[in-house]
Amino acid sequence: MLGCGGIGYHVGEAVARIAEAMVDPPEIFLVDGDIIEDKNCERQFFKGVVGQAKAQALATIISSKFPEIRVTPVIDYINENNLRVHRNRWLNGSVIVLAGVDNNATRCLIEDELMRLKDVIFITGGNEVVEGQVHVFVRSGRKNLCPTPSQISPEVRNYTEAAPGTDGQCLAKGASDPQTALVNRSVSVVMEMSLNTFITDGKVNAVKPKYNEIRVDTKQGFVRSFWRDPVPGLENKTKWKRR
Amino acid sequence: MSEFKKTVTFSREQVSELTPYEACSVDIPDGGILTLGDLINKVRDHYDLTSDMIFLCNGAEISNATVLEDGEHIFAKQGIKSRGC
Repeated sequence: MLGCGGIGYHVGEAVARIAEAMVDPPEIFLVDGDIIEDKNCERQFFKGVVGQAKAQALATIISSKFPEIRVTPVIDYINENNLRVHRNRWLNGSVIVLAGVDNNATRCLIEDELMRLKDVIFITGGNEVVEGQVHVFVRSGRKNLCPTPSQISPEVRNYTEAAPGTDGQCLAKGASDPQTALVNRSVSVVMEMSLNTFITDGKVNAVKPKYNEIRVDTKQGFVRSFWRDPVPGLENKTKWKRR
Repeated sequence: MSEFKKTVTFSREQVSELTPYEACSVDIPDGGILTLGDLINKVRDHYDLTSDMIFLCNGAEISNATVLEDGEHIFAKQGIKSRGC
């Protein structure tokens, strides 16, 4: 789970519950370099853990509720400088990658990394104040079964902010902008639902999804799923950046 | 017909309906320059353009100042919701 904040906080526990029901419960890595601040307690965590790393605090919560599940906090951002460390530690062995990050630099980087893997299910969520979306991507046998998130939303590759943990970073514009607890939870539930579609009889089943984008609007009160083809001009994209 | 007349195709993602795209052609005799801003003004009455839409041409995001070429296909879609951490 990449990002343990507004979305990841809720997804983490849901993933642990799913993992507990699996035939061979997987190890869960929680990856986030953020430290909990007072403002985070409006939508996640609680006052008593202010100053702790989000990944560590979430790991402690999950371990207390699901003691049988192996949970490993990785208190670090993922960026081009430390990519090799992340590859060796958790990324190369991952079969499911979930992301609730607040910047396109990380989204872009992780998408490129997924292309190095033979099989992976990638579910990534994001939100604004009251709206959000989830993208689902599946790769099986080194073949993409659906468009990548950036083929659907190419602005992911047009980011201007520096990645967290790099020199000159501005910690994502979203960090200080408003978002509601409801939209965080709604997106996280949609991510949990999406993940659940790939679990059959307690095992991971990487198949082509029926939809690859789900939009959530907590103000208008809808959740809608769509199959998205690549945007015009990106249908034949086959090369991703190798780092 | 002006010798500078350009035709571009505009289609908009529709997230709330089953049909994902609809398209129209926009002809603008304008001395040879057609920007995305011109295009938006032309189609504004026909499409519900929201402020968080982004505009793409051949998969690349374009801005209001981008000069469009004859025959190009412009695609408008809602931008990604980017927070959550």
